Amino acid sequence: MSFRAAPGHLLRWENTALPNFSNFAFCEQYYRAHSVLRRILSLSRKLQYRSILVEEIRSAECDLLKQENEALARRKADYQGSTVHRLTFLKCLANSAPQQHEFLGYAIFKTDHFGGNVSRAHVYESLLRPVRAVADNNFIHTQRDYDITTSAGSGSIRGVLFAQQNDLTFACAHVALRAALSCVVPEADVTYAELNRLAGVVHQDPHRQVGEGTDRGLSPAQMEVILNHYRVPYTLLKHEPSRQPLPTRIEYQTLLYASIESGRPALLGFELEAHPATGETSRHLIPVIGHTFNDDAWVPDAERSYFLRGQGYFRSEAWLSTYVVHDDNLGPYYCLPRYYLSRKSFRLLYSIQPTAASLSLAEAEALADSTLISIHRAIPMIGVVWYDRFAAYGRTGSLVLRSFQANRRQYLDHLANLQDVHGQRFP
Amino acid sequence: MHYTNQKLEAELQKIAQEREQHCCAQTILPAVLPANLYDPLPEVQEFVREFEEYQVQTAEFNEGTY
Repeated sequence: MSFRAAPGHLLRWENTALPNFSNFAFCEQYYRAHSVLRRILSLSRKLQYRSILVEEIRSAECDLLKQENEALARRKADYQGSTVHRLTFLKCLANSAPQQHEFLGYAIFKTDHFGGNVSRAHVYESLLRPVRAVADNNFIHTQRDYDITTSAGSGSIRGVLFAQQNDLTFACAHVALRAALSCVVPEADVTYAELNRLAGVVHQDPHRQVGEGTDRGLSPAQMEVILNHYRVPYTLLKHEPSRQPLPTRIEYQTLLYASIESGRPALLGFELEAHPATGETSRHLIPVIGHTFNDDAWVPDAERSYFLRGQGYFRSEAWLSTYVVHDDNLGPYYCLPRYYLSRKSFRLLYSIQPTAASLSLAEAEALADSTLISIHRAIPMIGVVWYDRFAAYGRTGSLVLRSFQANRRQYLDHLANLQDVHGQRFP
Repeated sequence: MHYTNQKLEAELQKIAQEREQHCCAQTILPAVLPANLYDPLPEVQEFVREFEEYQVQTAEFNEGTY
């Protein structure tokens, strides 16, 4: 049983629409000023929440919680138990039955208790509706619908699942994989127990543990075992500059964009700055779930007109402003500016695709451009104005190519539906 | 301004001037397209070769954990 379906025991139902309600005060009073939860509360405010329903979830009534607690007990001998709250963000006031559309999101806040009066908290999972949508130039094609049942009523929420590592039984790769797989697997969620089983993680074995004290998460090989198990097609790009630098003409952003445009998430790994005291570096993995777009962007034209940087055509990616990502250390639905993570720090990309393909989208795009060049070189002009404009744009390196993966049926339907200004279709 | 826009503008003006000519793309295109239409240009062949070689050479890299 998931946290979304587990029975909840009402602790409080806060009216957040009151003038004296403060997200800061609420978070400090009950959740030790947890920064990721505060980010979630901030997003809930943007979604115009009017109340927060807080319920306790008990392990005797939630199989998933029981499973997680058992894993912690194997990992840490002094583990004593956990406290779990389900916070449901509602558009209705407290103590009024919420309508289906009034469920804005929820967060599972888990506090794990250990010997010596030590406790550690994390957002085990959260689902929020995105604050911005297509009308705001935000494109998150990876959303799924999730049903939630609370003691106040049931509803459905559409969004992308967010989760935070506990640094003991699951690390950043686990939560990134969970978020990405949730977008594509039929069940719309996976468990850490299953991910660890596939990756060969054994919590009681010091050589096969992950998290605190091990400097270990999941290796690329372990992640590939997991992706292959779920039969998720993906394009892979790795960058280890000390072994083999990424060739200048290969740009990871092209593959990343193609994945997002195809309606699938991607997993992006990068290296952090060296620790100032030890000089050691570590790595982080985040799921990329969407993008923002700015069709008034100045850069694509300026790149070619002023700075002479062109490649014979424009990629529609050039108008992308930011990638929408979840970062388990920071919170959900952050915007990562394009090219902020340069090739210097880029290390790993799993670009998930709708179906397996023999070519990456970067190669397909290059081949498509090659074919278009052959066409307009062979037939520079035919007197049909739109063809002639196409050829003119091609000759001047001004065509815009947008690459995404479609299956054969989708492509044939697209061709069948094309029509010219006179309503004529292909014969 | 760099030449890119000027060249495109000149091309589009030329098309506008010759717009009186009409013919049907559906019948012309298949007849005159070259047989080697889908043969990649040399620079594209080089890119695809470089891309695939890089992917093969790095596929088994297993550095770092996340």
